[in-house]
Amino acid sequence: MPLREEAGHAQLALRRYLGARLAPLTLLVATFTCLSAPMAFFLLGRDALEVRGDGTARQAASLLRQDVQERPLLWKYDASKVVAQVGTFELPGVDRVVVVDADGVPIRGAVDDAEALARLDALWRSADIEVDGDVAGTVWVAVSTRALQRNTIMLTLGFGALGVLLGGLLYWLPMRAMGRAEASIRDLIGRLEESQSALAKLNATLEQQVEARSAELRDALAELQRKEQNLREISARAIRMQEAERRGIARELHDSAGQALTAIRIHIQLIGDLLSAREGDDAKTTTMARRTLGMVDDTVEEIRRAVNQLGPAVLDDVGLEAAIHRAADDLSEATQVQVERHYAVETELDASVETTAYRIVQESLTNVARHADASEVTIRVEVEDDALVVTIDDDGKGFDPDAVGPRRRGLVGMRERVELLGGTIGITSTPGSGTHIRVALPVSARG
Amino acid sequence: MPWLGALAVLLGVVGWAVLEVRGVGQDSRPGFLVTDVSASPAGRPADGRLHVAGSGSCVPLARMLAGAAMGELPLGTEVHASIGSGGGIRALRDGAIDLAIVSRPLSDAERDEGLVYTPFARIPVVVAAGLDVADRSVSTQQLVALFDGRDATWSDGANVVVLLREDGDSSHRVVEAEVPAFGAATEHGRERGFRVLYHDGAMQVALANTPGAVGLHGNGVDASLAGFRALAVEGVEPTGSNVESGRYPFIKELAFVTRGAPAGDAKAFVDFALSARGRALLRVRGAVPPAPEEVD
Repeated sequence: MPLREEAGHAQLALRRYLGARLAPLTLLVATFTCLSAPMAFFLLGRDALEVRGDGTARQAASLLRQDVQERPLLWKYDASKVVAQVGTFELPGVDRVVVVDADGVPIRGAVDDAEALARLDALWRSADIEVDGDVAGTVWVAVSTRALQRNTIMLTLGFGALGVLLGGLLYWLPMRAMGRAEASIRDLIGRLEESQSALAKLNATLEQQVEARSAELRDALAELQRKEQNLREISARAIRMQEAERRGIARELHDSAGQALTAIRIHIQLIGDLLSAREGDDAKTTTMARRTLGMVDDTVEEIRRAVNQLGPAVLDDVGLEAAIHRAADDLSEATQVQVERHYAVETELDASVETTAYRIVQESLTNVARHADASEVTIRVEVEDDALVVTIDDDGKGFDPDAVGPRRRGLVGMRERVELLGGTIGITSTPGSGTHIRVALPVSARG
Repeated sequence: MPWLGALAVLLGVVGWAVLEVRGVGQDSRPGFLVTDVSASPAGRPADGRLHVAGSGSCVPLARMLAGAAMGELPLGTEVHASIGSGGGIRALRDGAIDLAIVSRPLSDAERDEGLVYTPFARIPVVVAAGLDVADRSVSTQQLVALFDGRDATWSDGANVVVLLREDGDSSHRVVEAEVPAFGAATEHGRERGFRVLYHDGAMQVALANTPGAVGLHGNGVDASLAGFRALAVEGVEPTGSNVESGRYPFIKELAFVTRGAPAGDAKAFVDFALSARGRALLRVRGAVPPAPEEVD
């Protein structure tokens, strides 16, 4: 991986990674470029010099062969002329022509300065002077390699510069691109590290913020609960006051108006009886008395109903369980609906809870009588986990709880009563499947 | 990628191997540069004969004298083919021959080492031209112009082909001594690429076979002139009488060279050449022998 350890951290080292791999390739390209062409030039040039030297040596040997044939013993004393003749060929690069005898000894005068010849930068080529199969001597030709060396050096310098240029480009271009990429990556990494740092900082303060916010929420919740409790208490108090007032009104109606009407009825009935006893009396008055008696009965009934609606005095009179039984009996009596009841409450209940429970049962049975067309109703009243749970089930035609109608207004009133006490209410009904109402009221709701 | 580095090293090794295989760097120099060798004499054949060698200008006369001497002297003489005056002196110095024949004077160094110079004839250096050349005579100025290349045609408009001898040739030296501008002219001719011949025989063949040719012939006026003709210089023919009288300007002196005073068979041969018989034979061949008083 292109990473390096620095101060204990892994650092991105793409350029170093690439450079380590490009360097040998660059060296190879530079070396190949630098050496290949000059080497080929040198070898080919050397071949050309060898050919030139061989040709010159053979030509000189051919000339000398005739001399040797004419003067087998003394040819080498005249060989300098042949050498001079070969020199006039003006072959480029041919520095010297030296003739040696069969023993390899230069002919006299051929080598004036052996040390200078030895220092000559030359390629020596030779051709034997053969006469009748015998080697009479050898022609040595020195072909200068100075020009070849000079040109090879110049070519090496040129191609060396080219190799350095190519190698440099080969190294520099990818390294520059990699440097830019590395800078971009480092920039991205820097940003990422900044983001990580900010995130870490945020994480470090987040718990504090959450804790503070949670504390605020807890406080708000506590405040809300306190206010809710206050509201409940106020609501319960208001309900109790309302119920007490309504009960007072009902009791007043029952005790005063009811008693008065009862007395009036008794008197009217006595009047009617008296009138009936008097023969020949006015029948019309009797009829009126009886009619008035009927009207009083109706009024008494209306007052009773009003009293019943205003304040379930029955609760004060007989308690919740008996009140529920009485309401159930009233329903059965009025509608022939079978009402099954289950009452299992041992706990002493707050008056507001009892009133609300009774109102729920009362409203539910009223709805059954008015809308459900049911044949059987089941009422359950029991305590579950500090809550008074009241359930009313009927096998009536059911209804759509979301539909707007008179029943809905009654249901809304039920819900408002329950929620004022901090309770819950669930109404489940679908058309044709009956209705299930479940109400849970906290038994601790006290005023 | 260490393999790339290894490949670069391998490339260098392969390059070195190629150079090695191709012999670059190997010492293929001749042995005389590697070890100290000294020139060895050619070795004189122990056949009891007198071996004579040297300038090609002398060879015809020497062979003629040798042939004549065979019937009069109790010695066998072999005149070798031309090896030049310098070659003859070197062969004499090495003991490869008994008698050198030269067509140039000895240098001071050669005299100092004890070589003895004995003239035996004078011959004209002939300005020779091909048989197709219309001209029969040249002036010294024309001669310079011809060999310089400035005069490129003969009088009939034919092209002139100048044939030169190598630098240092005795015939050229003779003409240069008389016409100083001739040396520069021949040098210029060489620079212009005029053909150079290295032996008298080659010159004779070239003169006979090259149309419009002109060159110096150093063998005098003898039977070997077949195939070309001698031009008069300033109207003077290269004859023995003109040489003897000194009218002809280009005269070459031929001489024997010995190590020390001539002795033995060499002395006998020299004496024969300088004898009345020898001088007569030389005159017959167009050469001018030295006067008797000069020999004495």
